[in-house]
Amino acid sequence: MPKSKINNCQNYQSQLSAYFDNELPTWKRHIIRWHLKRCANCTDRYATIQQTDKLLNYLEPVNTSEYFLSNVMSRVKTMQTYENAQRSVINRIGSAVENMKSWIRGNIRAYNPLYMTGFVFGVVMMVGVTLYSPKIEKLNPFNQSNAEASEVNDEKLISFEVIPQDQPKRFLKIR
Amino acid sequence: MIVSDEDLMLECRKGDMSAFELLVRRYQDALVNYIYYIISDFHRAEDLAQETFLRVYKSASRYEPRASFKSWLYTIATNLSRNEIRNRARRKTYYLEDMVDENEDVYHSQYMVDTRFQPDILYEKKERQQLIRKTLKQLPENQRLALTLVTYQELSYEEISEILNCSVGAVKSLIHRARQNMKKLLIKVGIGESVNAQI
Repeated sequence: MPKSKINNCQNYQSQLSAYFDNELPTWKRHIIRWHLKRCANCTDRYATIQQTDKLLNYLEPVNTSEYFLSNVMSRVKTMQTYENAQRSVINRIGSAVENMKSWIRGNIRAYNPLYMTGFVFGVVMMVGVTLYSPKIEKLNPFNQSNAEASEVNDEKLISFEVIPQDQPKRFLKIR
Repeated sequence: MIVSDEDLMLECRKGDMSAFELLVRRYQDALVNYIYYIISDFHRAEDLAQETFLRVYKSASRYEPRASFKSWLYTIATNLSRNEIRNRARRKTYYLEDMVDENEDVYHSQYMVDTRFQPDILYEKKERQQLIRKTLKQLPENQRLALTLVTYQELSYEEISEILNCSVGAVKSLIHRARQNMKKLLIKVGIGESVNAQI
């Protein structure tokens, strides 16, 4: 067989599967059909594809068990109730956050810059006190007595009095 | 009037359970068969098909009818089947159906109870089906998926390309090679030659 003919046939043969599955445009289908009428080799190849497909279709489809649908639906319902429960928790948290927001807006009038500044200052102070409480305690005049007391206690703990033992004035004479 | 899958899915998104049930009814047999041909284990195939439908329901709220519902459904099933094959390879699990030939059709054979068939014909038919199934299993994963989708699910090359996430040209060559390999393997097991005489 000439080389050009082999190459030509190889091109056709690579398209045969798509031709069998009706996946080629009409003009290509016409060309392949025309070629198949003239080329015995390609016709054999096409017959092989048909044979293989017949064999594959020899497998019979299995039937799904009768409980398949009910199983799916019950699993979906279980999932739905779980999701609803989860959603209700999320909704509760969301509504609590919304309430808090509205309370803050109502109370400090968030749109007023003066109140807003006060609010921010308050928050900063609270955070500062929480984070740096030991340093601020020293500056706090109300805590001074406590500081003093603690100093005294420290002194008490540290200082001690040394009482020298006096020499006895008279010694007992031992006879 | 037949309602399209996409419309049913949109109804399902609104919370209509009957629409979802109709979708399950439409695709349950096809999907179980598809997964069964891929993983060769009927009971696991049913589990995976159920899982596929659950995933569809879960993502129903986010569903946008851009691609066809069928492609989307088969994509989920394909991914689950691929995971199953990989997990099985990792755990080195062997199923009874792979190891025992006779066990294969115990649960889902229609003609086991049908007395019209002669025992020898029945046995021959069963054996041939077993051989074809085993041969199909020997194909590389992507070739097997493409061949199963085109032969048993009758999907177009374009839909298969969406499912396998590759070009239409790649699907064309995959199917071409799959058929060639299948033919060779069938001849090897001795049922490829005289097919016309046997069927």
